[in-house]
Amino acid sequence: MTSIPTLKTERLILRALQFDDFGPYADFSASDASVFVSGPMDMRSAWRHFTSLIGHWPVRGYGWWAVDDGSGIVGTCGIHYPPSHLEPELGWVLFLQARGKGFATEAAKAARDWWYARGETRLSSNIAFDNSPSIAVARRLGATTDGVPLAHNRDCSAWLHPGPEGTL
Amino acid sequence: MTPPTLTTERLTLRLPDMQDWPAYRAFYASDATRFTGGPYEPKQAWSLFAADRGHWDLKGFGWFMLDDGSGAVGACGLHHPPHQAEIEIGWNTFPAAQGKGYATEAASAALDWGWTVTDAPRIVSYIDRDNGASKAVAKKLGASWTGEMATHDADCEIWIHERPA
Repeated sequence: MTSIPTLKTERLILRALQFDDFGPYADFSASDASVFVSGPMDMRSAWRHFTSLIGHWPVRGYGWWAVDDGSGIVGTCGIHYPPSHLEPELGWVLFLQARGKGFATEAAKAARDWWYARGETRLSSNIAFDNSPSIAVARRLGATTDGVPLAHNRDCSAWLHPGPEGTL
Repeated sequence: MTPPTLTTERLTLRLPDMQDWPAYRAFYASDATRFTGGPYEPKQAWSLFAADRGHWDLKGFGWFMLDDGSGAVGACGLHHPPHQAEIEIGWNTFPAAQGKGYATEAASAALDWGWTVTDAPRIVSYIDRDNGASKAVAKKLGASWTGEMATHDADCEIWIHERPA
């Protein structure tokens, strides 16, 4: 009932999360691979996170997509803005089997392009200091950080993305 | 589907949106949520708030905000998270609006509507054994407890609403 756009990249589709995605999502959330996104967590917490990703769309007008490589969901990516944060954030999560292929960079770039196409001019990503895979993605996307710990999460700093004119 | 809006004598039951967030956050930060896992930090409350809204898209039913004309005064609706055995109807009234019978009024409307979105023979309410106020609402709605406890929470009684004949 909420209209969530579908984005296509060379290898991926970013589409609305649906009920059938919850199984793979819960498996990932229960694994150590979810350590940088509040995990590992039990099914009850995973359901809350999963449904909150979808509910963010009608509440804010934007949100997170399922990242699908044609085999089904292999991760999630999108833009969210919890009120405790300073501004909207671009984030990405890949399930273990889909890592090492450049999918996160490809998905995040599509989400960022979509954001700027709406007329937005600023976007950042909050990344833990020891999350080196995500830091590598941020660098590939051209983002930079001042290294200052965030007020709402002292383990992270904000990585500021290049603006619309720098990503054409 | 188009999200429903239900109206009762005194209340409008509508889907949550951003204007409801301050009242929702305040309620979830209060001790009034002690029977449902609270009090909650704002970060957790936001996750619950967005999750309440997202449940509608996944399942076609969910929780409404209760609005008495002054803004959000509580919440009520149906949900079915995978860790729970059956579809549940739940309710809460924010402290400033308690004692007016709003929960019963809203839950009665939500239950009538609930029978139209599920063909389940019964809808349940999982209620903490110490939550006397909620059990009083369940009784007013005509629900009964047979002594069964919830499989997902040993402290919760299973109050049963039978589908009307």
